[in-house]
This record gives sequence, C-alpha cells and structure tokens, in this order.
Amino acid sequence: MANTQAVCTSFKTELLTGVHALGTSVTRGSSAADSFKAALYVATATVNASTTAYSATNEVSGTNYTAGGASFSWSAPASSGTTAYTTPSANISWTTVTLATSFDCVLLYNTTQSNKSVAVYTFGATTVTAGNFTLTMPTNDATTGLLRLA
Amino acid sequence: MTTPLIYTINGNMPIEDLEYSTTWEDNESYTKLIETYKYEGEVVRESVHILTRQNLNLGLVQGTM
Repeated sequence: MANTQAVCTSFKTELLTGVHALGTSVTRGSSAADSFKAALYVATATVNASTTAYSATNEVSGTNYTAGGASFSWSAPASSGTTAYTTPSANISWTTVTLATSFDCVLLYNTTQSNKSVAVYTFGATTVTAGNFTLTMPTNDATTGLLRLA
Repeated sequence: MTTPLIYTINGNMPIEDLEYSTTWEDNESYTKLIETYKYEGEVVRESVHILTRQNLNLGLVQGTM
C-alpha cells in the first residue's frame, strides 16, 4: 500500500452537511437540516458570485409570486469517486404566476442562516403570463448534480 | 360535453379559441420550453419550463506545504 495526497472525499460530503467548522463563527444548536429558498431576479439585477445573501432588491414581483421565493430541500449529500454532490430533491416551480418583467436568474439561499446565498443559476430572459414556471432539476449524481465538490 | 377551459389573464377561456405554440431554447447552460397561448394575437397565457445544465463545481483545491 502507498499513501496518496488528496482532500478526503468524506470531508467534501461533510462540508455539505455542516460537519466541519474551520472558522469560529459557527454555532450548532440543532441536528436538523437548514431551510432553503429559491428567489427569482429580474434581468437587470446584479446577482453573481459576489452575492452574499438574499435581497428583495430587483427580485421579481407579480401575481402568485411570494417575495423571498419558493422553499425547497436538498437531496442528502452523497459522494461518488472523489466528488461530493447534491441537488434540490424536487423541481422548483411557481404555479399560475404572472411575471411580466423579464427575469433570468434564480438565487438559492439559506433561510436558517441569515439568508446566506448558496448559488446563482441563469437561464436567459424569461417572462411568464398566468402560467407555470418550472425549474427542472438534473439527475443527482457526481456528473450532473446541481452542486458538486470535485 | 364540457368545454375544456384553461386559465389565462382574461380568466378561464376555451382552449379551442386560443392559438397554442411552443418555443425551445437549447444551449450548454439550459434547455427552455416556452408554451404560449394567444387570443386574437395577444398572449393570454405563457408557461416556461427550464432544465438547467449549469452543474456548478465547487472545485475544492488542495494546496501544498
């Protein structure tokens, strides 16, 4: 046997489940998973890697869209090979919604942890009129999972 | 026989009175299906379904000592 340098795969999965606290600002009072939401933003917004938390500024508005967005849960983080991954456990959708101002991105954020942002996904300018808006999730695996630690 | 209705910005309308069309956008980032219902040229209902392909890698990098 030989030793091999690597970031341990279990560490990647455990990061996604909040096991490791490399800093001193984390406090743990519960073993329950955090709660998350998905909020939509207009095409003129600036939501990107620098976004630290949810903001109502430039969020879409319209019939049957509730400010703050839609709640969702993550699939239990898992790993395959050296990649840890997770994906929202179901499609995220808004029903019979009217969003007349062009929007093109969704921000996933953690409502339990002061609305801290997780990731931003863009999908081209979109409007919805008295219809359904559905974000279909990809297959949750090490190749196509929505969030992966490689 | 009941007339099939669909909800629109004008309330429930007979589907047979509406012009239905679909538009697809497909690129490396996403696939988008847009379903549009028009009445006399006006969009009265539009639904959008998106499959995101932007599987974001967090790319954890191990440094050296």
